[in-house]
Amino acid sequence: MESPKRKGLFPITAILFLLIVVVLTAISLFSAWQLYFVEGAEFSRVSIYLFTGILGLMVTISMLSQISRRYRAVRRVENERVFTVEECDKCNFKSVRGFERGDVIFKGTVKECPKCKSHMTITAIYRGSSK
Amino acid sequence: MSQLPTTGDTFGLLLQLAFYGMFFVFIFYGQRIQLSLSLLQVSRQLTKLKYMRAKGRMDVIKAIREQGGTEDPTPAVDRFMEHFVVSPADMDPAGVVWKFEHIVNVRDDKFKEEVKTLAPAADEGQVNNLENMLEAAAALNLVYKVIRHYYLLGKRTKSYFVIAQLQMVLPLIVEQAQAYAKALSAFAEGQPIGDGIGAIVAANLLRSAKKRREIAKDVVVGELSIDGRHVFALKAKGPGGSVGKPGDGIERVIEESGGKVDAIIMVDAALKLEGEKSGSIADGIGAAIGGIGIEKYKIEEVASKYKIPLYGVVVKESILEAITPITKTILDSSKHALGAVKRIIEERVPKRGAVIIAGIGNTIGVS
Repeated sequence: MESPKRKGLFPITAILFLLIVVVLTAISLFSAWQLYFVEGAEFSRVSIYLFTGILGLMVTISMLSQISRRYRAVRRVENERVFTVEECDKCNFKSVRGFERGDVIFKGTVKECPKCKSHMTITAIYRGSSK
Repeated sequence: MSQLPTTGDTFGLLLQLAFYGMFFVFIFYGQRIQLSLSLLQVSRQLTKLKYMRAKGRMDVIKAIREQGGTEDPTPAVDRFMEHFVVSPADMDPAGVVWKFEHIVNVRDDKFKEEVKTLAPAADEGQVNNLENMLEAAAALNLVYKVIRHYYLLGKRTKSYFVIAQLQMVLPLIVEQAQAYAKALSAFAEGQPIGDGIGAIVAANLLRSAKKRREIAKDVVVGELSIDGRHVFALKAKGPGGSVGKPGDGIERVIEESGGKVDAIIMVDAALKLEGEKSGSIADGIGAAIGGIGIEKYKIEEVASKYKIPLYGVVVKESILEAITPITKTILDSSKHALGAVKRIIEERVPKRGAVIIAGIGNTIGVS
């Protein structure tokens, strides 16, 4: 339910911001590692790089989880199609198709059963997957 | 890497100063910063609500235009969205139900007449659907306006506590508003909704009835036999979006049969608690019907007058599931609900006895 403008803008800005954060995080963590293990600096000097690196990691994880939540929400909306089930009154042959305006549960359709040419009735209309 | 501020303590000093600065800033302006952050979050949710309201309004206008109106429906839709109903005075509660019913009837008739004028090509069912759409759009408008009121009040008075309360309830309110927004498309298309599960159960029974007749306003009844018991299956008249007046329908069936009814079984959708499974069935005692209470009152009155036991079978679902197109899980539960109804008949209604089965709920998309 986001406004169309924000919907389009979000992924690009988010991905750009995420890339910047990932690069800064990598630089911070690499600097901390080099200072402590290569140059043998004291921990108090290393801590600032370690702190920013961990902060960057947390921001990255949080942003990734937000993006995946958004992606899942979009997928969920896409999966919310409405289907109509038609059933033969005689041989119980069933067919599932997309909902069309005018479809009503327990209303006879103009369609004939492809198997026995009998009347068909709409027995179900539901939201979800066609299976 | 040696170019980075690793030499000297300048960087450490700056960092320390920044921490001290932040400490004092948070002491003196902490709540104001918190207020700004909360206001920002509330304003984002408010934008969502505003968008939902605008979309709802546009959907209604589009749906009315599709029904062949010549004049522009926009001013009328805007007027409907601001429409209000004043509840009757209840200081002396005696007779308040009838006063309430009168007000609701006047409102329904007014809405229907105006929708018919706006959409002359619409049949009875489509008029009901458009009325449902207008109600959902009006609900979205009201939600937006109330939230905006508290947001602006909190912003003007700089009261963190007003905004904090708003922030706490907003996720639930936005969820409900999203349900209304999704309901609009279901009403526009005439798709059955989760609330109609009771009507689906009754419609399934009515398929075996020889004929159905309109027994009260927007209520149909059919007669059939289940395990040697005479059954009156009753539901709102479809396939337009209507709940009818099941109270009047049940009362009339009982009066017509001289009070010789052994049980009333009502099937309805009920709001589930978090953690409960959607589509799960529960049965109990009493009039299983929602709404403002007019129909419930009538049913309880007639049932107690003739000492007829009232049984209820409910299908659990969330608010979102109740007003959006019915899910397969809930639709499949209609068979279990019917099973529960048959079990009650077998256990509680004597052979050759009579029972009323009332399918309660919005019958949109159900014949």
